[in-house]
Amino acid sequence: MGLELSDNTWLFLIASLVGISCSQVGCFLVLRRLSMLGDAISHTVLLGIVLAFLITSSLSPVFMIPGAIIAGLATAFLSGAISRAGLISGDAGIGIVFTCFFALGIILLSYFAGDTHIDLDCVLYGELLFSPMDTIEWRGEDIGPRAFWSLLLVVILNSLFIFIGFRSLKFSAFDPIVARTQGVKVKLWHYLLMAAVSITTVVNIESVGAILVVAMLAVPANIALLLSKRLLDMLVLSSLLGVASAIGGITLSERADSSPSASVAIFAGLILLLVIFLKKFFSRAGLAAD
Amino acid sequence: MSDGSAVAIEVHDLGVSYHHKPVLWAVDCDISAGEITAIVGPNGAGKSTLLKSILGFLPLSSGYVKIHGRPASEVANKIAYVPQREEVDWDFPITVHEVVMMSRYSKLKFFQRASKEDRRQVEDALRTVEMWDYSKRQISDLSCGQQQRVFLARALAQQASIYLLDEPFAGIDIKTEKSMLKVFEDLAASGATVVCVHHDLNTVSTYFDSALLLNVRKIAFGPASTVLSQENILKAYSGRPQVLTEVGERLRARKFQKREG
Repeated sequence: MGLELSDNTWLFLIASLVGISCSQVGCFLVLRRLSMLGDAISHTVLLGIVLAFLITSSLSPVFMIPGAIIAGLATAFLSGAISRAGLISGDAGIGIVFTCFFALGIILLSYFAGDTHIDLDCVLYGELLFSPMDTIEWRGEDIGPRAFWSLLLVVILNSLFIFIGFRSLKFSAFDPIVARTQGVKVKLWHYLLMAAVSITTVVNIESVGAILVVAMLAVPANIALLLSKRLLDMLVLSSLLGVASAIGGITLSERADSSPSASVAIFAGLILLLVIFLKKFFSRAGLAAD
Repeated sequence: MSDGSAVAIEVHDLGVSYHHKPVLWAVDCDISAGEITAIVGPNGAGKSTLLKSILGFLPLSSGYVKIHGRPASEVANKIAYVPQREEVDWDFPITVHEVVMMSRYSKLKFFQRASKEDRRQVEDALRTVEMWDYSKRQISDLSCGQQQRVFLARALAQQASIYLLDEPFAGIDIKTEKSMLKVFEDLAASGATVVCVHHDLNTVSTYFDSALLLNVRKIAFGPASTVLSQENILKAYSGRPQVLTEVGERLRARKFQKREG
């Protein structure tokens, strides 16, 4: 049997998986105040993809994913090394590596790979609308869009990663020094997380573009942080919010005839504003009641 | 060591630099077991850095630290560390109970769940600091003093023999201060070693057995009542620029040679 769903349904499913997969890693980025690094990685993976393509002349994910992981880890390592060198302060290191790697990716892309499938507009803005049309076959049957299956795989991998590393990830995010005294391999988990961010962003960029990825990494996780008492609540809630933004944003884009990716990002931002407003309102009301 | 078990922490010729600027320079002291020791000195004197180098987490430019005669890395889970309250994000979605359970982590194998014993230790620690009733609360709901007590409970649940605390009395009320001091005294009486970075010179001689007066170099070390003499305080709180320029210039001139212990 083939999976016969309408393009519209696929669109909702794909956008929901984007929301879930990004907010899974986004929670840890937000808690560790590394949203900027997630932002950077979601762009520098381009350099990894382009280099992998130049070396192998193939667009197969077998080469793209390792390329993206290497670029992501290099971004994390180099920006850390620049701030550790002590001459440049704070997250300026991230800004430098981010822009240089991304620019290098663009130059290489326009120079050597001008006539390939890697399209710059696509990398930045994505083509969420077209993603349901790029379908794959399994045993001769059309089983639906490629983006759906690859994103589902990412969600499963992320879930496994978080399940296995839950305590280590939680403690190294909350108090890295004490975590280290307790034998948590803080650095190892940091780079594993960066690898997870790289895989997540590269697969997502393919279907929705870097801008929506940046929004989905940061916004649902931040809303969830405002509303959660425990890390597990935050993870579940941010995934739900990712799905809600996807559904809300796409509905919005159908009504307003706007770009689906941009509408999803806007919708997530609106939820965040609403939650901040309600929280302020209720904490003030709570104070007044005291 | 010939003088045996009494020395819990041996700091010898310790030097630490950040970006070629010395933060600690040739610090020596033997901190005794069963005592409460204060580390005092002006801002930027290297007090927190000294605690972190005792933990074994900083690259040393000279010297060594030994805990009961062994390198810190070998006895890591015998050392309980309490960071300054500002070092963690108190809006983190984590409950009081989970924070204290963190100190049982090294005793668990990968994937192993917390045992009855772990839970009992966490409960005991929280009861000791009178925070058991708050164990299900998120840490962002707590007052400063309560947060500090949760951190102390986490250290207690680790069942360590060395307790390193960075400004445990900063920003808390006098009642909490007294009750925490009582906990320190009980720990010391049981043979544990308690070392606190402390900022209030007035309470040093009443709260602590020994004190280390620090300003990049060791200014004085000994019984708390004698260390804070007028002369020593003056030396510690006015001498810093000179010490820094001297040492900094020597580093820059690359005349500086490593002294090995």
